Amino acid sequence: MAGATEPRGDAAPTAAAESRPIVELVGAVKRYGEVTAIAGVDLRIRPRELFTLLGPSGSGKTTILRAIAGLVDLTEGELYIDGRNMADVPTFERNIGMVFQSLALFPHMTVFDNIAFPLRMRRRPRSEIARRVQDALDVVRLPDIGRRRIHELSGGQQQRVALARALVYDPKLLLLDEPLGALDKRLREEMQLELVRLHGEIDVTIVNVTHDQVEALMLSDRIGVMEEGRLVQVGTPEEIYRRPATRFVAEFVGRANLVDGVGTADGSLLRVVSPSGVAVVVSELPAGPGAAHTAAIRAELITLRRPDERRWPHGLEGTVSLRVFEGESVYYEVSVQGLERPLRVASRRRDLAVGEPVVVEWDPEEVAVVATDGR
Amino acid sequence: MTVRRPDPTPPATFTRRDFLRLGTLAGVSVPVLSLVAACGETTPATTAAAPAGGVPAKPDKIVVRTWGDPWRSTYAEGPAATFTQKTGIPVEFDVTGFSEIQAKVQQAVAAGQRPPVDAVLTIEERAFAAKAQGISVPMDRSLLTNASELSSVGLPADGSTNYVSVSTYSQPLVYAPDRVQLPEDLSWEEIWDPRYEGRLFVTDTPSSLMLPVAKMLGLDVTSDDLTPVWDKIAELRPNIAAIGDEEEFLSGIESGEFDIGITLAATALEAEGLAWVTPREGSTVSTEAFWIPTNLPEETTYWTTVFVNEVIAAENQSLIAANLGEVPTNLGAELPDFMKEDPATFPFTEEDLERYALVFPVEVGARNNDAWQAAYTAAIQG
Amino acid sequence: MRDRTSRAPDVGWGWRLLDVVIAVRRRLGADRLEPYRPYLMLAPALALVTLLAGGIVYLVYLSFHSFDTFLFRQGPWSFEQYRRLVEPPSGDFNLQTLQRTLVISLLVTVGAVALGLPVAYFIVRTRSRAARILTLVLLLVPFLMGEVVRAFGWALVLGSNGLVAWVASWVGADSGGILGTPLAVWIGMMQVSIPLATLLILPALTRIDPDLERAAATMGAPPVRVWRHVVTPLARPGIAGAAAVVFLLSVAEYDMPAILGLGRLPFVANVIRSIYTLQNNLYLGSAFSLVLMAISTLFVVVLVAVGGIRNLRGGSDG
Repeated sequence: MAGATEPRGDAAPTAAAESRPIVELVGAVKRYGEVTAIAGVDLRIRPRELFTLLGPSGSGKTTILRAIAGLVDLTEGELYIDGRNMADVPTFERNIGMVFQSLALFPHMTVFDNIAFPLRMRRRPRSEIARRVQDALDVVRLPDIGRRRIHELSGGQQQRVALARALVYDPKLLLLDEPLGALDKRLREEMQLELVRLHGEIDVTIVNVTHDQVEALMLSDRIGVMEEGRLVQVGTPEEIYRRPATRFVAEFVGRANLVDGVGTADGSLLRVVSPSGVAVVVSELPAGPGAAHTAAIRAELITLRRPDERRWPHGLEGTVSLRVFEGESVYYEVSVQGLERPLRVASRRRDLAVGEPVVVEWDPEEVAVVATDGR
Repeated sequence: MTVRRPDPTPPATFTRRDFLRLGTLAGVSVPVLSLVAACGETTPATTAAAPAGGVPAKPDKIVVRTWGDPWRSTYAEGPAATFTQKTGIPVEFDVTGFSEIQAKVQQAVAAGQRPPVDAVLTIEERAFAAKAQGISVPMDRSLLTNASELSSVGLPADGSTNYVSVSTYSQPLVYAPDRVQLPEDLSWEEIWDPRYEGRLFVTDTPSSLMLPVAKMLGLDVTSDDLTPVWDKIAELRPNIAAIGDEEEFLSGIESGEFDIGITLAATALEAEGLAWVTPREGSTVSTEAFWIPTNLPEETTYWTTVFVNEVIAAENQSLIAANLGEVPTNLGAELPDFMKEDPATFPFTEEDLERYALVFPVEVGARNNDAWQAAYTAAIQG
Repeated sequence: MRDRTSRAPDVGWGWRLLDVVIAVRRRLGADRLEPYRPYLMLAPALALVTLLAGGIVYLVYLSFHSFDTFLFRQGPWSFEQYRRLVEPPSGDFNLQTLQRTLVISLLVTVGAVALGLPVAYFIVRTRSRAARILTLVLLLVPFLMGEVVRAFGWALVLGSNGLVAWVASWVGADSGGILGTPLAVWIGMMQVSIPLATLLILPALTRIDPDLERAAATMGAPPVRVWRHVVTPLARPGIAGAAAVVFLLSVAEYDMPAILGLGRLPFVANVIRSIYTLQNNLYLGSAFSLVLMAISTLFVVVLVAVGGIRNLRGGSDG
């Protein structure tokens, strides 16, 4: 279960003084008839962190978010917010902010009325509402659009209004259900930076849901990776990136080359050897020699050399089969005898041409190795 | 006690009232436009007289408008059969609604065309109106050989022969004796008694109540101001449970919505366990009549008159009495026992008519139908 | 594109045909009709409306003439019919009938919308497909039988020997049933009005993004306030439309007052029937019909103004 892998994340040195979690899920299960959306999840989210649930669609990440919001009732397990069991607390009493994928702005209200809505639900005085709505609009840098109708706004403006509406009542917890998914790349990046900025300015815990691993790595204090209703790894972006707990995580996060094989130890030289005989030198074999392992070599961490520049005896020999210029780096694919798929490489080198023989080298310390027995 | 109803052909459940309703709804509206054009010019009434040369040629058939069964079957079994037997001319029936057929004849006459039917059975008021509207012909008295046997309500009071009344019906109090006891000798005043609160059914047309009330109040409907009549009727409201037609009376009294109603005596015969009584002022008696449209070929008018004469023949009148529960106008007819036993409700002889019947004054009634109906509706439904 | 596809003989034939169609359209100038196409599509409806309008003009013509019902003869231009509507002996009665018609119709409208809205909401939001289909089928059942059949059905239930009276006597209440009361007429009319309102509100609710309600809940709105501030305002065009249709049909109701009112609680339609058939006066009936139509129209205009059918546009742009 997820618990088996979690200690790796918690053991990370970045972990702040272990204060009481603001959100805690214990053995959470949600089933819809035959379908299991989340299959036993334990999760603790710390105050003030920006936590991202990362996973492909259908992995259960949105269900967890909705369970936290009270929009979904858990079939089994407990949910605590600020130490309080939420079993009998309806959504409207949870005092959380949430931005939906669809944004869910009220089309029949002006921008002002949309942002004022949560304050009116709390029966705040009129003058306070006016002031706080204006403050919220200032925070999202849209000071002058209060009178407009929602459909008169651009996509980016709507995004900011939705954010302002979710923050105007100072909730302790802000839930983001892939609100950036529908935006184009530039706008998305802009909003991501905006979120990081806001998170720095405001005292709020953010739980974000996304299937975009770049976004997750970029924004998050910590990431929880979901696979088929299970939380397979929780950790800082770096941990997730460098030390994936499972083959799935290794494949899902970043651009990795996976080599499945059996661990062998030749003195101090550890290798994962594929059935076709390709040997990948690694720095550790978590399940020990003789066991099945997968080695994940990040595309960015590979060094390409011409055969005459070779420095390391364990590099793999291959041929450049594809070269794509990507701006700051060049993306190559290198065909290696014995590997089904060519190795993917992001390199600073620009001088290699398709058809050229090359040697692929890496630092064994940078290769993630995952025990894959039974899989 | 039920009226025997031979030949229950499919529309047997379709009562006269249904045709009344359907017919008027469809019939009134359609031909008005052409009438608008036609109004004003009065078609001169052509007297149907036997041609000097004797008996005219026979038409292929004659077409007679009646209500649906049991009327149609009764007329087919009786007068149509004897007529065809004597003359060899077949009779066809048409059951178009009575308002619609009147409008259709008006339309045809206005357009100078032959009307769709050769004789019309309707309520006397409409037959009277047909004469006033100039769409009926006087019948040749010499062909109405049975007319001499008719009672005083058989031929129009004005001495014309534009229609012949073939039967009469009265509207007594009909009640469920297991639920309500009525005194032996009672006045119409009885039904105003508060003990009948919410237990009474009245008709949606004024004739049933206005004549008894006028009599109670000593008023003459043909000449006096009727405001007191309508006011008195309005006072009946607390006792009224329902207002409607014969069918609504039957379903309501069977389901117990009310215990007493004013309706046709014949209607009482259609249900089990109902009794009726005619209060001492008498009940309203109305008649049904045949009239013959204008614009027909002379020989058709001639032979249709012969058919009408068959309708008022004593033997056929006996059949009408037995089958329809309506009182014949031919004094030589044989009455069923239930009619003989209750002359107040089924006044037959001149003496009965004189003593019990409040005969509906057809001319004043026809002329004032619109006004009386409006006043009555306001009085009972207000 | 065309060159490539025309190599396959059958596809090429299709393209050539399309070319011909386009050429013919061009030559005929059909493209110039393009901007008018929405109007052309309205043509059948317009024809029908014109026919109806013709009927109404005819009614207006009749209502402003005097008429002799005995001789069945039209007289000159006159206000006689309208005068008769308001003068004794019918004036008070007609006013009372009009009041009854409007009040019960309004109560039916309010009731049908109030009860139809939650049903429509249930249909739109339930997770269970079976429940949704079952509810829809149940809603359609009343439409399967004729109005008169339904009315007599209710007469049995509400009558002296009916279920209502039986239950009432069972709990010790003295009751002869409620037939002949405004309540009976209201109930009878509701049976078809609730499903009608539901079906008319349904499309408006379907268009409401369920996330809007969830969002409102996260912002602290309890269910009642979600309804008040989110669902109802967004469903307003549908509600206004449903109310207009239910009201117009109710105002023209005939059978329920006739049968369940036992003839004692006539609606305008019942009185008009009586005028047409018993008084034989199409001219007076026309006048009353037009008065009712004018009042109903006024009501719908007010409803559209207040209910904001203008919101029909734009709601989904957000």
